[in-house]
Amino acid sequence: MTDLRTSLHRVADDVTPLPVADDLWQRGQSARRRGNALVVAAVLAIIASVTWSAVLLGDGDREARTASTPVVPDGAIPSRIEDPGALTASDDLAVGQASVAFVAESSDVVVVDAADGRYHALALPEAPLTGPVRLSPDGIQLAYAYDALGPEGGPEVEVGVAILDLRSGEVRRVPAISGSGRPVAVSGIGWSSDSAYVAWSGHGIRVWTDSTRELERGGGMLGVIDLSTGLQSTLDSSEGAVSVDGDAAATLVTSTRVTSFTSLSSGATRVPLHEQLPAVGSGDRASTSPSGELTAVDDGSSVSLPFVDGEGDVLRRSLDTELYPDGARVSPLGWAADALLLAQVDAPAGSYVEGRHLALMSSPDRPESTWTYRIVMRDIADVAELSVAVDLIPDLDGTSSQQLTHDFGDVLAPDQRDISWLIGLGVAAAIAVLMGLRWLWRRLLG
Amino acid sequence: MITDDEAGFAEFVAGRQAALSRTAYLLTGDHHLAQDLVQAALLQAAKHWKRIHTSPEAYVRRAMYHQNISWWRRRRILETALVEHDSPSVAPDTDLRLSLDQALGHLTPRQRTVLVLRFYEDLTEAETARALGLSTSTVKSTTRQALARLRTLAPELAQLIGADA
Repeated sequence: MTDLRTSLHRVADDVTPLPVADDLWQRGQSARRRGNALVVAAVLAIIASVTWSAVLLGDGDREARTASTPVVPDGAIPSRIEDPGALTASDDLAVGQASVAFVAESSDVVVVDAADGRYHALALPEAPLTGPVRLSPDGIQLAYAYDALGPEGGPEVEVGVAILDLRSGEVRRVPAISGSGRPVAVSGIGWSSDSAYVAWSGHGIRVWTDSTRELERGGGMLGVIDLSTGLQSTLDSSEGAVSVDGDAAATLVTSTRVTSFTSLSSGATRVPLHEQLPAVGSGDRASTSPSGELTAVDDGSSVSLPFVDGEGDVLRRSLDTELYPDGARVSPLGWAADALLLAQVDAPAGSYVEGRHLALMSSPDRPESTWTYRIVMRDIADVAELSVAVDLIPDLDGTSSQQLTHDFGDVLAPDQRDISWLIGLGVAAAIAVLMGLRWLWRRLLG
Repeated sequence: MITDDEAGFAEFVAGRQAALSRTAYLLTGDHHLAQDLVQAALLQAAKHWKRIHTSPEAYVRRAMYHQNISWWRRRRILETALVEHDSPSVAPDTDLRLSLDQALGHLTPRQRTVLVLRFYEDLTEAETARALGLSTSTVKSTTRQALARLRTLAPELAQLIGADA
């Protein structure tokens, strides 16, 4: 082996130093600069490739579109509300802050993501097919009536108000039980403007059969839930339109009187209405202003919207006959500011704005000369139980050009499929192209 | 104006050009290919000088080893057709009068490179494996195969190679 080593050295020693080019350094530096340029080009190619994929997906026909739409981090009201059709209801209820909630034609409870405008159908535990569903003003919680088999030893049927935290996905159940221990069917739910309290109204259930769900109505009840403590105060009362203010004072409006109730310890006051509202009944909407002074009530009127105060006075906000010559049905959704109500308006053909739309209107306790009426959204789909996170409506700046909603694009792909795999595929393709270019580059350079 | 890096590169080339030339010749068995090999490796060194200037020789030698094998693969692809159509069958095993220099030319580049690293550069099996990106067992088997082939090609070199190698 030593001989092989010696012989190799002998062969090598016969080799004279081989000449090398004088410009090796310059060529090496040029190659380095070209390499750097290629890296920059490669990065740009990847960015362009991904961007191109996103543009292609967002600009094609409806079949090719997905929910890869601009994101509004702080949330916004979408510029359209459509019925999404058949969505797959998800058990994952932690969808984040919502801007809108409703019950679709498919009976699914749907929320619209406040940040990206995507629609989510929620598989709410023990939610009945019919019943109130209300999104909190801040869009973070969803209150709905539930009914379920009761706990062992308790009432056969447990009913009440469930509050879903859309950020954590946790559902908190607050059973509604009358003073006699009977379950109460919840027909109306209202949020306080600070999203801290939920008020509900309902009636006792005397007979409940699992097969038919037929029931015999008992007496009415009113309840207020403090979400910070989970404690609930209830009051035997009539059934009506219910709301609550930021001091936990619930307001229940029936056709003949208004009831104010905070807790059993502070008692309740019942005042006759100075103007009867015969059309107000159970399940109708009501919304109390942040100051607690006025409660807007849906009384089914087509010419004006009544606002009730604690003294039983009824102030009416008349609709502009030029806008709605044949009247319109107005239902309160919440307060965007202390004197600014967001309402759902259903206007017949021939109106300035036909069909279902949302409008901001000044409350009638303000001078009529300062009244505002602003269309927020048009052509809303015929969905049930519509509620809106009114906190997402920006303060009015007094100009008609102010954007109150955000256009998230067409977020309703047929199945709102996950496009992450498409983006991944695009990136993989870009990397493959770059690897090929690199191979070619090295091949050409030797 | 010459920068410090360029001066350092020039100093390295001037100091190690002869040693690199010897290794390159042993790897290729051809003066022209050896010259190309040295130039290509030095070009790579110039390109990455800022990164390797503290120990450029190890980088240049590794570049030569890999570049030689890479070139050989490419040449083999290009030359296969000519061998098949234009040349009568070559029977190297019948040529018993080969010198060591000529016998090395009938080894594969990997076999030749392993022998050069083991017996000329005096690297251990582990160091050879690391330099070529191979496993130690591959280096062992390649060395064994290379020596066996040398004995077959040039029996008169058996004394150099060693009977038990």
